[in-house]
Amino acid sequence: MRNRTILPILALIFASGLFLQQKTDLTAVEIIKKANDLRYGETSEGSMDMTLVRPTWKRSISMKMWTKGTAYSMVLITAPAKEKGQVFMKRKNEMWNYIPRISRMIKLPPSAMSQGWMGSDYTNDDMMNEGSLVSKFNHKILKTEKFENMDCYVIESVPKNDDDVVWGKKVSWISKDDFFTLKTESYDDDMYLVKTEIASEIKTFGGKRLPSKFEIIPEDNPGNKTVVVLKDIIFNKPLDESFFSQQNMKRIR
Amino acid sequence: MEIIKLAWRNIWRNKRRTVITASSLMFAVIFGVVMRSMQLGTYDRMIDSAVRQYSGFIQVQDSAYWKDKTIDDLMPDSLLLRKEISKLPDVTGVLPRLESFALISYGNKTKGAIFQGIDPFLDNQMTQISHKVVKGSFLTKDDEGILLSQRLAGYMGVNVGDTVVLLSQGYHAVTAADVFPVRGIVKIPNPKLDRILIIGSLKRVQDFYGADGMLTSMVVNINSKNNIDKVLPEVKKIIDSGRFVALSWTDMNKELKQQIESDSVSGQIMLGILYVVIFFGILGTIIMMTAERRKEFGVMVALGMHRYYLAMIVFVETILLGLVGALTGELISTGIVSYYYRSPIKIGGEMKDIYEQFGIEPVLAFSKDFGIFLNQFYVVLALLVIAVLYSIIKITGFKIIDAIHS
Repeated sequence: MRNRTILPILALIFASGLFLQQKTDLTAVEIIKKANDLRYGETSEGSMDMTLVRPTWKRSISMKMWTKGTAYSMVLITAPAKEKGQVFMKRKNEMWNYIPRISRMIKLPPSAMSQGWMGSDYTNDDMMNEGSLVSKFNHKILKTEKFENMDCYVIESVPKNDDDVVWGKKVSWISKDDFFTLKTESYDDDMYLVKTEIASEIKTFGGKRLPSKFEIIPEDNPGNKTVVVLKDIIFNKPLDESFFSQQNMKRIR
Repeated sequence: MEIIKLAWRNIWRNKRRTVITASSLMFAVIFGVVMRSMQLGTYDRMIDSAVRQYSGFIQVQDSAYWKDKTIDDLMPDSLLLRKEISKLPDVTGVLPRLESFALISYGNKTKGAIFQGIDPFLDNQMTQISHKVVKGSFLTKDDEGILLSQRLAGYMGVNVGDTVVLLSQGYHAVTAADVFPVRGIVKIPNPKLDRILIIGSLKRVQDFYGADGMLTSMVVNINSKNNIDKVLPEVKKIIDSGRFVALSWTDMNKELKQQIESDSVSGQIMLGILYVVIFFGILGTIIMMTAERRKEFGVMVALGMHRYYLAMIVFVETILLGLVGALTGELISTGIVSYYYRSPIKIGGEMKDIYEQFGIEPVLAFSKDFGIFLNQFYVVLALLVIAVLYSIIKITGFKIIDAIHS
């Protein structure tokens, strides 16, 4: 009788202990991967507004974005009128830009990778290599600390191979409970802070809780920042690889 | 009056000496005038092709524009301000401009260029650019098409009537991309600009860069570059100094200004050496003349002529000689200069390439500035006066007995 009750409890304790053990022992790579999967999912389709903030002016751009895994993404500009219909596409390592006004498909050269995307503080490289943070870096948990009232892992990511990556290192604050990437600092090869990305305003999109506001603050231009606000996003809607094609760039609306 | 008559007769007593001395002075004047005129004329031409045709003598800009020259630091166009500036004395015109970088693409070729928006009517009044259209037609007001500079069009393989693609970043980071029909091909004198300039109507360029009613600058042209120090402060008084700045062509073309200054100094050194050579030539003839006429002077003084009067005669003789030489020189050099002023010397061959690499039009132009003629005249006469001091000192100091016996 006694054994009968104790055994399951023991088992439960053991199991939960195992579970707890497992949770605290998440490796840095797993944390980064979870955070990354949360943001992108298997596929995603969403719309967002981007605002460029400069000391003397600001300007907003609206867009729709489709992603599949980390290898494919497509961005369609929907406003303002002058830029409406412009499409950016990333296929593995290549990035293309289609401008309907001149009916030209432009392949962005590697030298353009560190330039601002649409004049923002987002570089083309940010657009391209968002997913490669998981695979192209070695990750290490530095410490845990509170950020915006959430317990966070602080993870340092150093590129495995210097040649592939424009950054010297990245430091990310990832919340323990939900794996939100709340803050990322990017350093250059000389380990100077180049820019900081801060995520905030957690909202629920299609049953999934996510930060909805992202601010990119470059270090060398005081008063400059870029704010991206997620308006809606749905995940894991089937999307074929062939969706990310040059033909589709010209068709997409 | 009698002195002049005497002196005039005296100098023609020994015709050969007079002709030699006068012609050495004549050549001095000719060399000096032609050399300086060519230098100053070439500078004027350089300034003209870089300044009058492109940047203007004075530009009014947004105060932040000059530092980075980004299209984000534009100024609003204002007809009122333009009118106010053009009312100033010595101002010949105020031109609105919007210009920025653009990639031009045609077929498989793409090149970086400067896309400049102008008011076709006003600009043409100022620069007569429509005369430089070598193919096709000039722009009309608010024209949808563009003009390409000749070398750029040649490189791109573009002809009148073709459609080219321009791509750039516009005002406040807007994507600037559009297709343009080529209306004409225009020959820009400055070779550097001729390789990169695309010209469109202001309205069209503003539209392209998403900068409606905005300008990079107002170009203020004036009647003569010598008046710039007078006009610039007046322009500065009119504009709102918190928002705008007025820059002179020397602020905007520092490189050109330094190039001209250093070249001008080397020209002046050459001229200085020429003067030294001429001075010793003159001194030589005067020493020779004084020695030759020693006996004559001795006899004159022995007969009762005042040394002072004699010295005066010699002085006037030299001045007359100088006038004859210098005036002939002036006459001949006027002929040379006005010929080359009308048809400047075009440089060919390797020198042409060197000039073009420096962004200078390969042409030696001449200046008709009256000051050049006057300066040479003064300098040669001054050299003469210094040289004649030798014979005056001799005349006032010689011993009559020695002189008569020599």
